[in-house]
Amino acid sequence: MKKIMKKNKRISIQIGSVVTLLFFVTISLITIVVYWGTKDLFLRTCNERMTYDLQKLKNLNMNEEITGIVIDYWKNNPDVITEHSEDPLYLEFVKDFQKVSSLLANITPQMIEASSDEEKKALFKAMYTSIGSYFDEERKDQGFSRIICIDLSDDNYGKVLMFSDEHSEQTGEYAFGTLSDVYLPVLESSLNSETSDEYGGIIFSEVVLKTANSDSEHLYLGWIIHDTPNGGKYAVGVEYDWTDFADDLEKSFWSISLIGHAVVVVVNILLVIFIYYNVASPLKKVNKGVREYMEKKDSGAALKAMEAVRSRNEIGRLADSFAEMSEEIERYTEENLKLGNERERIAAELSLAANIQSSQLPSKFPAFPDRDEFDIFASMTPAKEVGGDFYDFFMIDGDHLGLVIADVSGKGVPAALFMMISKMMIKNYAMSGFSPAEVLEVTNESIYANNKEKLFVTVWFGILEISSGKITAANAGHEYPAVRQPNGRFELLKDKHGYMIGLRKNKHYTEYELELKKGATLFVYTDGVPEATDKDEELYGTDRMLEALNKEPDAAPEKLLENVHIAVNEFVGDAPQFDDLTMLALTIK
Amino acid sequence: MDIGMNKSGNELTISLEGRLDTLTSPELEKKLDSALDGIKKLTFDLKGLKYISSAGLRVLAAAMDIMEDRGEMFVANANDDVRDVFEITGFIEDLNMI
Repeated sequence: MKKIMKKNKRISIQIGSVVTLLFFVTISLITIVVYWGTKDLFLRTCNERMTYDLQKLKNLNMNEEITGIVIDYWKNNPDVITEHSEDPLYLEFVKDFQKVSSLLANITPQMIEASSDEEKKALFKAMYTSIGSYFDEERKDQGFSRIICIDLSDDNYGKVLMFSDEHSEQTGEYAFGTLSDVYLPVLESSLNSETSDEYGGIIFSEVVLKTANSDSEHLYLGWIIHDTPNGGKYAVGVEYDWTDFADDLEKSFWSISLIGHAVVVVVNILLVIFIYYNVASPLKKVNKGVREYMEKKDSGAALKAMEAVRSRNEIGRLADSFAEMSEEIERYTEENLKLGNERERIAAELSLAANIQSSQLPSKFPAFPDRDEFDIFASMTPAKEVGGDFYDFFMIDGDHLGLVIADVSGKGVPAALFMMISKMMIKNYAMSGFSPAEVLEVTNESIYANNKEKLFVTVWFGILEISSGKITAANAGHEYPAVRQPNGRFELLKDKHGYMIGLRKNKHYTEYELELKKGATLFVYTDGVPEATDKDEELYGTDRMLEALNKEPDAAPEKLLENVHIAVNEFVGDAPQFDDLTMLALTIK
Repeated sequence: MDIGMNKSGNELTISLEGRLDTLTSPELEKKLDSALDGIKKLTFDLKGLKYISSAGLRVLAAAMDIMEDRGEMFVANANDDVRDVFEITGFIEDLNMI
């Protein structure tokens, strides 16, 4: 029972585990896909905005021609840019920002050339300041966290030219160095990956920076690369800090994922329970019923057990089928037993009949060792089914030998009994001194009187006068005897036939005389010999029988019988032996 | 063995084809049990009968007994082999051969 239960549990758990696994995987995949999709979508929406802005910022609000010149001055005079200035011209520029803006838009390189050094200094510094403010304004307007401009010219590669972020605005300090360390690598790795044509050459980078206190900053940058007319190159980047959104997104998806998995676990527990009640438990009941049936072979109990399985599905049908099968098995077993008993009974009967039959016939040879006037041999080879053939020979007196060959109709025990009765009667009447015809007549009357089954027997009965070799015989419906006179060949003796014995009363028989000279042989047989059949249903026939006898016509009776036997067997081949082979041969010596 | 039953009024013709021996005579015996009710003339047509054994003779003899009280029995178209058997056994004495 333990083995069964283990197997049952496994079904629920097998199915449960697989389903759980599938659910987990599915939910995890969905969660991940949706997370990435959402994030991507979110960032994509920034792209357009960033692109637009970057296009605006490309020239740093200056006209094409002078950007390179201005940047050059800044590069070469970093202290001018960073030092505090009280220059009135500078202060005036800074105060009137509008003036500077239109200046920036309209100034030409020649005008710059024409200015004095003092003027240039004030101008360039003011330009720097105003562009810084411009960056600040843009940053605040667009909600960017940082705007940065990095120099990519060969002689100033990687240096931050200008930037704007919350920090710088508040403290007024320019932390050029550290920014370069952080952003240059970001820019460089983005440069290495493909640019997106969709956004006109704008490069986007996603960066996660770890701050001093181990928080993560999720930053999204867009860069535009610009070449100046005088051979310079710089990149302007705008940065969007989406850390808050990223954190929220992560949090929501973790909770969704957790809830999802928890639901899966609950659903699976329910599933396991469901499977248990609908599959495992009914199967257990069926199995129990089957095992009990195997032990007790009680189909009534099996039926009840299967009725307890109320599933309205394949399992219920299985239970029904098993119940039916157990009933069938019982029926079959009963029938088999009956048949078996029958068969045994029949087999016993048959073997009894066979014993009766064979024990009745004289089988000791040589039969009369002290009589050298004649030689006699006889044999009866039964067919598959016990028949009623018999032979008999007995001394009636010192000079007379009775010879009988007979064939009872029918098979089995009735035929065997009938055979016994016939044989006894013939011998009795013969020993009483009746002549062959008389013997047959009285035997016929006696048997007819007691023959409800309407069996009959064909008989050839002869009495040999040993001293003379004369046989007096009569034939009651039996096969013609075969006779061979000395130096001659076997031939059928077509004697007069009377009616077969037992069927009709008042039948008369005619006896005749047959003289056997010294060396002559008489051969009598039953129809098993000429009617032996081969597999083509051809009969052996008396002609072939005579042929077999005449192979060695002067052989001793035993050899004659052997020859015929062998010839018949050869003829019959593989076909089953149908009738008894009964033969008797007598040679006068 | 094939057994053909042809009844018209109170006359019945039974045709036998094949072998009438120990194996096949029970079949004929069973058929005769019910078939002979009300029959006054029974004819066995043995045209197709190849072989008859003592068991077969027994069935014919039984049929002859039944018909003895009711009417007549005939045996027709026996081939040489079958006729020989009738002669050897003396059965031919009692049979109406046609």
